[in-house]
Amino acid sequence: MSTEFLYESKIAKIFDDDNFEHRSLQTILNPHSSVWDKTTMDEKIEMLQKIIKNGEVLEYLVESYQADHISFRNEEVAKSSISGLCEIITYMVKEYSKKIDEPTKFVKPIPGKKWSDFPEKQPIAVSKTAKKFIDNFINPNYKNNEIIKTGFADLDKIDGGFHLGEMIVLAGDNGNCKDQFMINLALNMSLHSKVGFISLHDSKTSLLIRMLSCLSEIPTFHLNEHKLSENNILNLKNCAAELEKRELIINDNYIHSTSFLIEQCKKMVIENGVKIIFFESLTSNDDTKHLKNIIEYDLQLLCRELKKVALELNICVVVSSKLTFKSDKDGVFRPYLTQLRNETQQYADRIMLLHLPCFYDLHNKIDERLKNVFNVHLCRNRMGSLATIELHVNNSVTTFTDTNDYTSNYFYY
Amino acid sequence: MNQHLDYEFRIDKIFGIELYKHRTLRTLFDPYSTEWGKTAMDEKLKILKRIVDGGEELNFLIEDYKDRYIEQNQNHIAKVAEEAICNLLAASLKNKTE
Repeated sequence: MSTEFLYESKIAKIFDDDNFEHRSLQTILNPHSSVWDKTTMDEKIEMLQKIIKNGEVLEYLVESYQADHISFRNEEVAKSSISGLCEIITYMVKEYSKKIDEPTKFVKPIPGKKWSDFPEKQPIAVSKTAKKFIDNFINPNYKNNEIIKTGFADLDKIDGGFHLGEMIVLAGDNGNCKDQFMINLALNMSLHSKVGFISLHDSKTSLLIRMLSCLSEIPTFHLNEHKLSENNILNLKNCAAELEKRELIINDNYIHSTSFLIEQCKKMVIENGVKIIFFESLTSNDDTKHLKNIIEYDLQLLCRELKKVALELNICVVVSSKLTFKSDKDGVFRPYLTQLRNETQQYADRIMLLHLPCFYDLHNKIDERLKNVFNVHLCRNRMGSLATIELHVNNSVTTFTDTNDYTSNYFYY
Repeated sequence: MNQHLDYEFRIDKIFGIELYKHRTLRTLFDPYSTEWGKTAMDEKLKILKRIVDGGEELNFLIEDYKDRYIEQNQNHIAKVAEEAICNLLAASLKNKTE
């Protein structure tokens, strides 16, 4: 076909050569042509750059290329232009977009912070460090800074407390005091190290009221209704002094996405030096409940990111997760590990199933002793043994104390 | 009709929840959509890179995308995919020059 298309003359003009061999543009638009193979991808890109630099709009050029070929019944050639463009753009995003990529870190940095703010951990040779580590370890003044005591002696018996780098899941049914147990833990732990509390459900004020209720043992409804006796007021003043001792940071931002949550975690670690972060509700945070697979991806992503954050920033992340208890054959409601989502099980270092037996006692049938019992079933523990810990719960203000009742096994998974 | 929706699931696999708003890919292939207007060109190129790195062949992906809209009797959406590719390529070329 010797006819010259209109766009061809334009190309020839740009390249200042009437006999420019790639003037047909099949070099860049038709991967099935023989001329396509005559140039490398970089040469094609150079040609395209020159064409655009000379004021040609790629879109119009492709349109006239297609129109001209269709008018000469070369539909196949016209159609193939999209393949050509796809090949070039694929090559370009692979080769040239490296510079716009972020570093291959787990999570995005906070604006204004550099990756150098998070020093990379270096691998260590055990043979060289073992002696130093053991010497340090057997020193009577040795203090393991990687462990934070929970404030519950029975819980700390298992392996000292919560370890930095761990993701811990507190799972329980609605009404089984997950959040309240978290608040108690946060209050206890904030005596020894900096604690961050990311609240999904409560505002700062309501969370503070719940904390005050724990410390002062004044029920929350008294605090909310402002029905305070003189004793209560004195008590609250003491609590204010108590709270001042604690290094506790409350963050009640609306968590709309996983990336935002991760960003908030990082912010608290960098700006406030937080060592342990509590996060209410391990659920899909993005507002997309319309697709089951999306929620699963999201939850998996969230768990993975939280675990990565714990490792990367060397902090402990404690999250609560809801699970629905099922009743046994004997009609008793008990938590089972299998009720927890797989994604959560996969990434958690420790899983504690929380169980408040009196919550299910609709007919007032349970033993008097069990009415104030709160069970913590440690049913997954990467660092040590499994156990069931019994705590005493004060139902009016939902505070927990040790009972020294400790079972070194958790039976029913 | 549902077979062409498969590409959305493939995209879900690459992005998980992050791209749920753009899983139809109109962000990348429909310059007249609201989705297109919600992201900058650099962001589109990043999305495209992740798709390509995720093992997708752009050519087949666009074919699936076009087929899906043609079957939904929305030829006007399918038609503009090439225009979108031209825009993306032009942006990519501009990035390279800079």
